[in-house]
Amino acid sequence: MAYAYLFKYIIIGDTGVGKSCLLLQFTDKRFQPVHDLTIGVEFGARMITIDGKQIKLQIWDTAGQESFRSITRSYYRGAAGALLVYDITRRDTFNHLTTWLEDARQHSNSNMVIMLIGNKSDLESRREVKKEEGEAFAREHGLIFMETSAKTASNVEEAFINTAKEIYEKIQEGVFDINNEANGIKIGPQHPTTNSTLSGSQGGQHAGGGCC
Amino acid sequence: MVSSRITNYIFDAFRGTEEQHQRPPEEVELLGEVIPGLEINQQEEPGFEVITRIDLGTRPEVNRTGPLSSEDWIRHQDTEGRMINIPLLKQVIFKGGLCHALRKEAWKFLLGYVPWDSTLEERKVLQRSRTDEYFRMKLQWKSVSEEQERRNSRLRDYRSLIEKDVNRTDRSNRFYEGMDNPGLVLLHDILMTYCMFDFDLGYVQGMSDLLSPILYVMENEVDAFWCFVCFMDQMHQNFEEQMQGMKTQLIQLSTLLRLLDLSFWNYLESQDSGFLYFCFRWLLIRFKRELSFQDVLRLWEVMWTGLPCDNFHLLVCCAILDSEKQKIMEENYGFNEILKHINELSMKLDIEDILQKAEGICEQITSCKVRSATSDNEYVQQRQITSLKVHSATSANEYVQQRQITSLKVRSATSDNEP
Repeated sequence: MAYAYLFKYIIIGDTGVGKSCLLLQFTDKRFQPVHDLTIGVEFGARMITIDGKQIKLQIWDTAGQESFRSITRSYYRGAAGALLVYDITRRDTFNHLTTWLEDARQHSNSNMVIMLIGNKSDLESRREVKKEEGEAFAREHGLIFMETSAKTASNVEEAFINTAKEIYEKIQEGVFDINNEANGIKIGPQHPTTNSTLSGSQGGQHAGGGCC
Repeated sequence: MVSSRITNYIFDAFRGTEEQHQRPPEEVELLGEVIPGLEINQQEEPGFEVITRIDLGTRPEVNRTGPLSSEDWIRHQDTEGRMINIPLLKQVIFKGGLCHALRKEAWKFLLGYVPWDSTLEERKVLQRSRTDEYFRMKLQWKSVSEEQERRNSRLRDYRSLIEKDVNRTDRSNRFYEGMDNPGLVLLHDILMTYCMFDFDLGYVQGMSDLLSPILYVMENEVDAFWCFVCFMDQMHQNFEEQMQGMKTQLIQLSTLLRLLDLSFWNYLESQDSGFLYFCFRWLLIRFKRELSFQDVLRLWEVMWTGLPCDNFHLLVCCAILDSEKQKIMEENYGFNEILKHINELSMKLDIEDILQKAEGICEQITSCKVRSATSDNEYVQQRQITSLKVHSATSANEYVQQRQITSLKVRSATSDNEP
């Protein structure tokens, strides 16, 4: 399907925080509690619309275990957006954010938009990390922040689409050099018109999963 | 010396990594100068011939046969239960695999859990002592109190990771599906016990994928554990700190690919894909996620014969890449597209087709022509890589050393005397 832009995303964070479930919820609109653990990297893609333009998100879901890091970080490069995920019911996944963030910043381009995600918000009774802590971390490191639930789909659309909006804005501001694919943005066959502004951007309209 | 570093990789690529350390350095150095297929533009070592190019010739057609039957297996047993004609037996298994009913017994031999020349009686004794040993190790983690575990972060981490991953391993397989499936408990307990067996390594993601088919075949906790231990002996380096074993294999694969298909290798390099990270999952868990469950069983038993050379799995990689290179190059895929394309081959590969091709490539390599350029004349030598000659003129008299590149270890059914 024709698209104006393609954005490459990565999803990173500790093992078991729900990275693959977030991706599946976003691309297929379903929650699959039982799925195989990710080895290396998995892909997902979906079309969204921002500012009347079709944007294809190509999402790379990476394995979370520490020992794989030296290999998985080679997948980071050329990403325009990153979803950095922790599990609100496991304090240690929050404590590891700094390492993940350093790693991501070191191995990707400096303009990459990073969205911090506290996942499993449906498990309120088991919460170990307050929402305020997530907000504070995001503020301190210049990230966007959201709590999501891959299970109930709460905020999942928003997390992916808001990240795309931020990237889109940066393109409009001329921060991203869209002709350099190392920035994780590719101009699609449906070429965008120039001089467009970000008025009335409407996310959420999509063409369903499986469009790659 | 760049050239010798590169060439050592070739030898390493064909050689089990274990032997790497046992080889005398001077031999590796000398063998390292035999460079099939690499164009070397760096300064040459004085006196060594420089092999500029390799002529692989056409790939022979290879036939595969049907799986070994239980009757055939029994025919390879003497009255006391020792296996006989083992080289031939391995050759048959390499060519066609095993029928499923036979796997439970035959895998124990193939993996080295029980010796080929053991009698039935000896195997019973062995299995009894292994059973004791297993339960002794199992009791070790079972008897750790909550209090103790609070002070043992590594055990705690292993346990929590295993618990998570057992719930995410082959859950669509009948043997592991549904809640409270007893298969899950076994998977968990064996992995925990393996942590006691090798606490330094403990548990790393991917290991549950390696255990799952073994447990499925063995249907027995103790046998599955020891077979898994044997398999892990081969795979250990993949899971060690910093993934050094993985990186080594990727380099070996890259060297092989360059030897076999320079134009494709150049293409991958030009797309920043020369490190072959897209083969990561293939190598880490031996194609477990690329093939259907039944095909994984077939591939693994074929590889466990150790035929026709060590590191046959690297030739399997080459075989798959060989089938995909046209598409990749014609569509002008970049770094992202290549990785995506390779990832999406999962469950679309034909195991017999791949094995046929991989064996063909192996035969191609073992009977290739090496084009060499000496200081005087250029000549073409038809050489068996199995007995490549190393020309050296460093000493007063030029001498020729005929050396077996033992590292390639091309084994044939007739010459293999291994019991």
